[in-house]
Formats: sequence, C-alpha cells, structure tokens
Amino acid sequence: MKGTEQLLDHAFALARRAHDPVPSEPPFGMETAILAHWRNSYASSNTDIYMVRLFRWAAILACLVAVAGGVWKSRDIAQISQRLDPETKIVDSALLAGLDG
Amino acid sequence: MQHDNFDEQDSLRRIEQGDEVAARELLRHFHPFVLKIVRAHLPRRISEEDLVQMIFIKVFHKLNQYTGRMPLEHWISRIAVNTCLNALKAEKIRPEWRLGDFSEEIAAGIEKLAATKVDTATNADFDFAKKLVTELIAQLAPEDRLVITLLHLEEKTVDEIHAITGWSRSVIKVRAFRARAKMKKMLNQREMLAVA
Repeated sequence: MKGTEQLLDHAFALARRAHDPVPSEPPFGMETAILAHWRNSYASSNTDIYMVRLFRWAAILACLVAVAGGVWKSRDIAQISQRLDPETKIVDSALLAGLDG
Repeated sequence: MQHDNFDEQDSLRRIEQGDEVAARELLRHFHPFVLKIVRAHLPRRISEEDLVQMIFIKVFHKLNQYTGRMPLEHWISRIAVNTCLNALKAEKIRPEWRLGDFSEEIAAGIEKLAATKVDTATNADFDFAKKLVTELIAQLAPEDRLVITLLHLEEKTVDEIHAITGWSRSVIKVRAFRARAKMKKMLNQREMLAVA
C-alpha cells in the first residue's frame, strides 16, 4: 500500500509538470457570444434602472398630489363645518322641512 | 496572465459605464486563468469552450455584485469552480469503476511511470502521468474530484480551498483523505491484476 501511496504522489508530481498550452486569446466566436450577451444584459439592466427611476418619481408625484389634495380638502371641510354653525343648521332644517311639506 | 498592463479598477469602472472595449479586455485578461480552471475540473460531457463561455456570462452578469472585498481573480475563480462543480454534479450517471477499466495504454505505462524520476522525465512522461491522474480523478465524486485537483494538481493549501469552495477545513481534509484512498485502491487493484 505504501508503494501505491508513493506511486500516486509520484504521478501527481509528474502530472503537475505536464505542458498544457493555453491560447493567449479566447476563440473569436466565444468572445463575440459573451460580449453580445453582456451587451444585451447591460441594455436590459439599464432599461430596468430607468423604469425603476420612472416608477420612483411617479410614486413621489402621486404622494405629493395626495398630500396636496388632502390639504385642499381639509380647508374645504373646515369651510363647510364653519358654515354649519347652529343657526345655519336651524335654517337648513327649516328649509328642508318646508320643502318636505 | 496575458495582459500585464491590465488595470482592474479602471476596467470595472468602464464596464459599469457600458464600455465594450473594457469588457473585452477583462475577458481576454482572465480567459487563460478560467480555461486552466475548466481544464482541471472539466466534466466529460461538456466542451471546455462551452463551460468557459458559461462562466464568463455568469461573471459579467454578477459583476455588479462584486464588492471588491476579495481580489477579482479569487471572485472569478469561485464562480468558475462552482460552475464546474455544478456541471459535474449534473453528470448523474458515473459508472462504477471496475478492475481493468484503465485503458491499455495507461495500464502498460504505470510500471514505467514508477521507475521514472521527476528530474529526468520527458514531456511524454509528464503527459502520461497527467492522463493517468485525470483517469483516476474522473472516477471520484464531484466534490472529491475538486478537492484532489485543487490540492494535488494546483497545489492549493487547505485555506485556499476553503476560500474557493466555502467548505470547512475539516471537510476538505476528510474529502481529500477519502478520495486519495479511493485512488490508491484503484491503483492497487491494477497492481494485483499485473501480478496475476
């Protein structure tokens, strides 16, 4: 078994020295395919970024409109409630009774 | 690596801005490095070119997730090794190795190999040893194959393998021990066959 252990280590030592030529540049077809893929994903990720930005601004704008609407409504409601003082209510009810009658 | 004037930070910045020339430079710079990893862990049923392409597509796809906490080379090697490992795992059918499964050429050359000294060995001896080791490693489970290749062919330390795979040091040592035992068993069977 010890001989086998040595043989294995010896095989590893020799295998590490085996010449394994590596091309200096990737094959043209592969390079083109990878870069085309990168271009597509870059373009789509950019589109995604623009869409996210667009939705973000749309959401902010919607919030502003809602707040402005709320402010406008609150003033309107305040005006209505001011109109509905006791005297106005009595007149209103009398008018309504007259109409009903 | 091939392009010594390659500026990693500059390249990453330009790629982020959509510079195709920078993407091409990065691809050419790391191609030999990735190819070596792929050749060391190549599954049988997939071409090395396909696997290299798959790895680079992943690298470019995930490049915006690269934080710079580790060298880019380590980050790429991790993607490459994991892609190879997944491809190896996808090869579900790994036929059981049997006595006499060595090709005749390899079986005949093992005796000669044992007598060959490293200092006086020829290129043919190196190539033969590589073939033998590749044949033995191919019979191992994907994880064991990865550990043995990194440890004994690429001469990585256990810490380096831990950094590449994320496995604990004890798991790496146990895997290496078991994988070596299996390889020795295969070689031993061959010796018994030779004696018989």
